[in-house]
Amino acid sequence: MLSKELVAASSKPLILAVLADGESYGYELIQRVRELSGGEIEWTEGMLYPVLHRLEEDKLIESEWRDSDNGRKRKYYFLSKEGRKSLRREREQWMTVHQTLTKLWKLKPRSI
Amino acid sequence: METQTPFDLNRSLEQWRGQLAHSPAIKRDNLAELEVHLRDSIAGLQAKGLSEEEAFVIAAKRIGQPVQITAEFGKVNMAAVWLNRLQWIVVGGFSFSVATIVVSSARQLTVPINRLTGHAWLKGFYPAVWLVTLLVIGVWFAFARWLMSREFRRPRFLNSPIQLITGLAICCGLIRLWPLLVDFAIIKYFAQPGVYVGRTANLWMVFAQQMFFEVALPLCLLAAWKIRYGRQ
Repeated sequence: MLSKELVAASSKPLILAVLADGESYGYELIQRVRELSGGEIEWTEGMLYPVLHRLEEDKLIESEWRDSDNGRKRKYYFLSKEGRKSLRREREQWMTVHQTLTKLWKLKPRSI
Repeated sequence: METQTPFDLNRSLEQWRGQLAHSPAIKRDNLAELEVHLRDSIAGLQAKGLSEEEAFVIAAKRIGQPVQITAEFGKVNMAAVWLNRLQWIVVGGFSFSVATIVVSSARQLTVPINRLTGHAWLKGFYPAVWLVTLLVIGVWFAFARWLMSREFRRPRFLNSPIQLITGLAICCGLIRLWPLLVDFAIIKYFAQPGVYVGRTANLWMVFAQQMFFEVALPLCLLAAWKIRYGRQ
């Protein structure tokens, strides 16, 4: 299980990355992240929405209420141009951390 | 054996909504979105073989405690939260000014009553003045309590602080204006020219002060909050 701090820090790139695959709504987004992480990343589901709304205020994503297949109205989110740029920056930063840790841990595998 | 009341999903959803609708941090749109999520989550759990009641309990737990959710939404909807607080401050200030006016009218009433009865026993009339004050405060608290009670769904206009504050500001202005109008009427129709002029000028000064503190200041604060937190 991820720590609270890491969950908070990783929510932005995770949301942007899921939306880069195509538009989605809150419930589906959570399901997708849970599935991909093998259940390791568990959000308090209600907390996702304030994060989405903040990203929307920052113009990284856009939203629209739309009828879904089963007739239920849902709020769909999709990535904006600015969001794509932001995702690229996030990706670089996370990759930097990832590569650094990989190198470090490969150099000293026994000391972990 | 105990008799079990059958589970009513709509009633449970209604109760769940009530807990969140109460908070100014959660807008109508936010609540609608959370409810769709809850319904999706319930449907997903039911598909896995859970009963409607079990699915509801787990789905509600996964969404999070209302306290947690409202706190988190409050950070995003900061402007709405502060506007709501400001709204209650203004409502409080407004009620206070109404109470002041009611109390001072009660005091003024003692003059004609004394004159009519020929007694001075109503001189000052302080117990009654304090009684009226207490009554007004009591009525105000009862009103506030009722307004904030969880079951009560606020009418739409109370959810729009801008409308409410503007309305209250106008009411405040009108209430503050009437002593001036009475004074004007006295000068125009009853008094000798020049007699009341000094007092009127003084009243206008008081009126200007009142308008500044009760109308201009709240509206400026409102505008400032909107500029500062309206976007972020």
